[in-house]
Amino acid sequence: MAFFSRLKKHWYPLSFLFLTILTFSPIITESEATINELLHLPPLLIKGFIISLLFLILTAIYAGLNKR
Amino acid sequence: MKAIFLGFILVYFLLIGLALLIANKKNENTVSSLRLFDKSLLSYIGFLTYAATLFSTFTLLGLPNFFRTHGVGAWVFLGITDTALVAFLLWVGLKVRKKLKDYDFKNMASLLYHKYKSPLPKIIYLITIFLFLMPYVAIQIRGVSAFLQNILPSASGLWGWGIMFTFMIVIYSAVGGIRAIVYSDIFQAVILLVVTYLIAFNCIEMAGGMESLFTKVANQKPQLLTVPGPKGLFSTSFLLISFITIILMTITQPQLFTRMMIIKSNQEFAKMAIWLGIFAFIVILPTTFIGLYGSVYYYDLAPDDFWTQVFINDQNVWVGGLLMLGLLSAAMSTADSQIFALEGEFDNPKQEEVGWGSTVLITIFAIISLLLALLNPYQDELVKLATLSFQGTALTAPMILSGIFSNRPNRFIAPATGLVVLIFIFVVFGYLPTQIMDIHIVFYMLGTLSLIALKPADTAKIASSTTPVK
Repeated sequence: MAFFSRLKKHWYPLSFLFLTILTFSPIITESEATINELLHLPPLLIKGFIISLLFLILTAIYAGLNKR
Repeated sequence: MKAIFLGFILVYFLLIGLALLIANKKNENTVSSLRLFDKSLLSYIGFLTYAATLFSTFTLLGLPNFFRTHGVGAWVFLGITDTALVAFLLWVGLKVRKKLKDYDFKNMASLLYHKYKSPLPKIIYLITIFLFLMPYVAIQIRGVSAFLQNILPSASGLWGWGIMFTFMIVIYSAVGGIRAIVYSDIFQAVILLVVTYLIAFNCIEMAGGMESLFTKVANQKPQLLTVPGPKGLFSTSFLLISFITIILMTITQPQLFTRMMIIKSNQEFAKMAIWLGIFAFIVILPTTFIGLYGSVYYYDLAPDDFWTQVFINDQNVWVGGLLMLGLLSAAMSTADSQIFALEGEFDNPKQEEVGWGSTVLITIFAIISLLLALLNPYQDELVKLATLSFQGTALTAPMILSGIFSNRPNRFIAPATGLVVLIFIFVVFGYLPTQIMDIHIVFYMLGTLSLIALKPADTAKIASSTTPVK
């Protein structure tokens, strides 16, 4: 229980760490390959765009929670 | 064409003069007014000035060139990293602002002195930023002088443009204070955004559309579409250390830390972070297409010639003029922010009024930066100089964070930081290797300093005081 409450408390830096690991992992997912076929953008660039957008969403959620 | 470009330069000087006049009307000769905007910056101005300081000639010139020569891995290098920087800025910024809410912030140097109760951390910090902000200011001087010399050759060559630009930034920041800098930042941020999109759309159109552009890149240089790129630069080690050191700029570089501290409220700061993140994404995006266009048509050109081709010869003359305006303001706003913040770090914290002593020191700094810009051996590698600056200043991060967050920070962290910075200087000059077992040396340096910083002095004291007496 204590573990989960700590996890909940530190969700933001943990999400940040997760996205960082994702950035440096060599995995190209199925969806990125599909987008590649549709838009003809290189998979690495699509992956980069998606992770950047995820960082933006993370920032927006945390900012929303701290706007008070 | 020359007449139009000269006209643009004239318009720029008029705008700068106007910004100086307005700023001077509002300024008082106090640290709070001249250096800290009376700590009342709102989110919409805050994000523009932060963005303009962050995105400079390096973004406008260096990044397209980086995409051209090293490929789409450049998006990981800066696209992902800058959005991550904003996420980190929001998190650490709120914590720092909360921790220092009762402290009258003036500059990082006096904050370190206040927290460590010793002058050593302050001295180490000042020496480090003095040394490692130089390459970043040099980039701005070099970028703008080379570009202007290419399109408007002067008899005195690069030196003529370089001296004129350096003189401008020193005078502008010394006379106008932070208000004038914020005004030029707003102008730069807007111009930068407009001009990069105009050029990117034009490049995509000239390449026959997006699909055609990427097909051409895939046919000619397929390595550009993967990491580590044709020259092998984007190794995981390089990208990771760039990621860490760029993110740490929010804490270690005085112009960014000051902007974090002078936003009016935490609410405004949170709003600023969202806008900054969006701005970072949309301003880097077009540089990808400009760079890849360059890789198809101008792969073998030297950077200066590539910029002239893509930004001037391939564009409508008015777009070229606007680009020149954007470039001048980008270089100006980044360089004057850095010089101004550095100048503030040398202020006497006990004086309410701003003196001229630090201005003299900063003039010396600007002259050395000018020499570095025009005489260094990496003249065509703006990004290399930038990464050197990020890495050097990042080494002070454990000392700063420990000073802010620990109630009794470890006193060994300052001499350890000084020693590590000294070792890093040897690395820069090639006397020591940049990598050990395929991992960048800065990674080891930051790891060691973090371990020292994480063992606060109070822990040691509490541990010894709670040992039962036999």
